[in-house]
Amino acid sequence: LDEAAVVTLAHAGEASAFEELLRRRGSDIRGLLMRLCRGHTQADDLAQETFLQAWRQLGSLKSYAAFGAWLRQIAVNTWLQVQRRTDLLSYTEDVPEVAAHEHLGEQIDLDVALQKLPPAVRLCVVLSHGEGMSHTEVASATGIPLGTVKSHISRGSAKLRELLGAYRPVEEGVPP
Amino acid sequence: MNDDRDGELARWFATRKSAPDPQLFMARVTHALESERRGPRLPAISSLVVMICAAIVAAPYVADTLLALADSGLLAAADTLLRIPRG
Repeated sequence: LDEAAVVTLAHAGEASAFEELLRRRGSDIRGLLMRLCRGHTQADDLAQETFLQAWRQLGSLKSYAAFGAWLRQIAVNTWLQVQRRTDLLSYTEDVPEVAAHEHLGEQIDLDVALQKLPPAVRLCVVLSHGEGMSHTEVASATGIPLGTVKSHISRGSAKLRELLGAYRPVEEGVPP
Repeated sequence: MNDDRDGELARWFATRKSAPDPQLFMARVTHALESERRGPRLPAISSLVVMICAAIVAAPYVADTLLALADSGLLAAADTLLRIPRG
């Protein structure tokens, strides 16, 4: 069944239709929030809050076909609210210096590398590379000025490449 | 356009899409949604339960007190007082 049709049923108050949307979109929303949060527990808390908000606000959804983007925006807003509450979101231009091979030998992956970015930079990078959003869309979704978004993505991406460089395959000619 | 010119970062993101324990998460959110749908009925029901329990616990003490009052004739006195016409 087409997602817009499922959203229509959920909008009409069909609980099982909303649970179907939860099944279809749960993984994406959790994945997004796990990259933004510092732990799986907080990510799942925020993912749950995202779906509860979606259930409450479903009546305000204008286009049923845009459900995915609308849900993602709720997830970003939920995360931003937590950041504002904990005063961690700063639009700083400074990306802290972290040695690329600092944790070599430990289990480092993308999520760990992302945690080394400041929250605002991480948000822009995740929405851009993880969600495939344009700079303009990221600026619109986050409320961060476009110029700052570009700067965050550029510097955050450079830092991620540096951090993840240690994981490039040996066949590239770079010894691990 | 994003800044990932060679798609390297997009590949990193794409290979790490899944989140653990999807069934557990589903069950958790489904339960929260059910509670959400039930809405304010839950507090009303729990208040009612608390009141019934309190009444059951308090009933013997209330009965004892009434019997004691009756024995001491206070009930009769109160009854008399209530019957005095007020001018």
